[in-house]
Amino acid sequence: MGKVVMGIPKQRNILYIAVALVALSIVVPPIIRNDYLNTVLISIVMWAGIGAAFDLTAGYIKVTNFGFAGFFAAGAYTSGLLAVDFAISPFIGLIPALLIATAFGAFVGFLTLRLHGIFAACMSWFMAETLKYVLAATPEYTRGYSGLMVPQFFAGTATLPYYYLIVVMYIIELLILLKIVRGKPGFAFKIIGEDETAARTVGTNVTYYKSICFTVACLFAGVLGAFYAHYLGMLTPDVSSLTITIQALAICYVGGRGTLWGSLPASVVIITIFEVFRPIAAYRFIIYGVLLVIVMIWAQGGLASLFEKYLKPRLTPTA
Amino acid sequence: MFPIADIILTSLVRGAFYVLISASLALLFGIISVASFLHGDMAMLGGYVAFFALMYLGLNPIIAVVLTGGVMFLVGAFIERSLLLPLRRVSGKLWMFNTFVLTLGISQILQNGTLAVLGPSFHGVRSLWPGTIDIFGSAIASDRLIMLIASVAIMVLLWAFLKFTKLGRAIRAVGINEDAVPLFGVNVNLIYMFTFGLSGLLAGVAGGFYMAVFTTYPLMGVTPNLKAWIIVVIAGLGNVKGAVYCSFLLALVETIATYTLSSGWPNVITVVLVVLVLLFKPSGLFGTEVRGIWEK
Repeated sequence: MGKVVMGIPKQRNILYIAVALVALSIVVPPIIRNDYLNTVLISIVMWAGIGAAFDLTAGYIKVTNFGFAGFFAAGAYTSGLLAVDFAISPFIGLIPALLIATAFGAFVGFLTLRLHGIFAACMSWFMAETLKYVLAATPEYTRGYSGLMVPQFFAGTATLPYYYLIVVMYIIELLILLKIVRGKPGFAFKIIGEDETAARTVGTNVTYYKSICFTVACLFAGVLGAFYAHYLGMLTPDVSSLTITIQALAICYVGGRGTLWGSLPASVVIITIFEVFRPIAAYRFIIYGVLLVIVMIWAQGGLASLFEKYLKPRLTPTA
Repeated sequence: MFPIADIILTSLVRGAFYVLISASLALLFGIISVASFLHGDMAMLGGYVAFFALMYLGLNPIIAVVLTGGVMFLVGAFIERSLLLPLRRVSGKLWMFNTFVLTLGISQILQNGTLAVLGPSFHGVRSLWPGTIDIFGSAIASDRLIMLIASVAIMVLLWAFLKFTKLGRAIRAVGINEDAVPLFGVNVNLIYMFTFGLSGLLAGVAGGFYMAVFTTYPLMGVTPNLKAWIIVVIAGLGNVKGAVYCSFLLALVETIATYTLSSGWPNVITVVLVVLVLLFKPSGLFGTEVRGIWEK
C-alpha cells in the first residue's frame, strides 16, 4: 500500500517512510488518548483529502475549480437531509452524497468544459454561489441560515472513531486517485494540462478526459462534504461559499500542484500554524492570502518541490 | 400594478454601479489578461477612502470622489508593480489562472486586513445631496441620480481617453498585440501598471458611490465581485463596451426579479441567465475575439 501511496515504487527508503507514517498514524492516537489532538488530526487528514481532490483538477488538467465548495456542499446537504428527513444512516448517506455530487459535477463539467479553462472556473464558482442562495432561500427544507442539525456518525463524544474513519477515507481516496493519474487517463490529463492543442492534435479526446477529471474530483468533494456534515453535526448554506474553496485551494497550492500527496504536509503545516496561534484564528484568512501570494510568486512548486529538491536526493542514493 | 418607471429608474441606478465595477474588470481582462478577483475589494477600499475623505477631512463630495479615484489608482498601480509584475516573470502559459489565484489571495488579505484594522461595522454617510427628484411620477434620491450621471460621465471619459490620447492608444495596442508594441517604443510594464491603476480607479470610484448611497464594510466587495464576473462573462470576456450594456441588462433583470420574486431568488435568476448565455452563445453576447487570451 505504501508503495502506491508515495507514488515512487522503486525507491525503497521513501516506501519505508510512507509505511512508517501510516503505521504511526494508526498506532499513536489511541496511545496518547487526547481528544484535542484527535480533533486536530481529524482536520489535518480531512483537509489533506479535500486538497487532494482539488489537486486533481488544479494540478493535472490545470483547471482551478473555484466552485469546489458547491460540490462539497452538495454532498454535505444530500447526506445531511437524508439523515434528517428519512433517518438514513450517515454511512449509507455517503453513497447518495457521492452520486449527487458526481451528477452535479458532470452537469457543470458538461456545461463548461467544452469552453476554455477560465470559464469552467467561473461557471462552477457561479454554480456554487447559486447553490448557496438556493439553500438559503429554501429554509422550509434546509433550515437556511438557522442551521441544519445533522446526526453524527457515531453516538457519544469519542473522537477516535472519526479519526480512523477519515484516515481510511483518505487512504482509499489517495489510492484511487493515484491509480487514475498513473494510468492512461492520468497521462491524458497531463498532456491536456501542458498543452490542450497538442493533446487534441495527437488524438486525445480532450473534452471527455477533462469531464472525467472534473467529475472524479467532484465525487470526492461530495464524499468529504458528507463526512464534514456528519462530523460537525451542523450545516449552514455557507458550506457552499468561497471560504471552503479558498482553504482547499490554499492547501493544494501550498502542498504543490500535481502531486496529490502534497496536500498532506501542507495541511499539517497550515493547521499546526492555526493551532499554535489560536488567538489570531479569527483572521486566519489573512494567512491564507499571504500563503497564496508567497506560493504564487516565489514557490509555485509548493512544499512538494522542496521535498524533491532537498529530501529526495538524500533518501534515494544514486546507484 | 407593475411600476414601470420605478423599475427603470432602479435598474439604471443599479446599472450605474455595475458599469464602473464591471468595466474595471473587463479592462483588466481585455488589455492585460488579468482575471482579477480583487476589484470588489478595491471598491470596498474606495468606499473607505471616500468615507474618510468626507467625514474626517470634510471635503466637498466631488473633490472626495476625485481623491478616492487618485488614491485607488495608486493602490492599483502599487499592487501591480509589487505583486503582479513578479508573478508575470514566473508565469508562462498559465498567467491568467495564476492571476486569478494571486488576486484571490490579495483579496483575502484586503478583506480580512480591513476587518482586523477597522472592525466589522458599517461605514456610511447620511446623504451628500439631500432631497429627491421626481421623474415620470417616481421619486429618486438626488444622490442616486448624481451617481448615475457621474458614472456615465466617467465611462465617456474613459472611452475618450482610450480612443483619443496617445497613452490610451498605447493601452489598446498592448491589448491587441503585446509582443509587437515594444517595437514602437511602448513600455509594456508601464502600460500594465497604468491599466491596473485605471481599473483600481474605476472600482474605487464605484465603491465611493456605493458607500455614499448605502454603506461600506469589510466584506462589501464580495457581491460586486461576483456580479462583475457575471456581467463580464455574459458580455464576452474582456469586452468593455459589451460590459457596459450588460451591466444595465443585468440590473434590469435583477430589478424585475426583485419586484416579482421572493428574496434570495433574484440571485439565482442571474446565474440561470449566465448558464443560458454560455450554453447558446459561449463567446458572450458581445463576444469579440479580444486577443488570443487562451494561447497566452
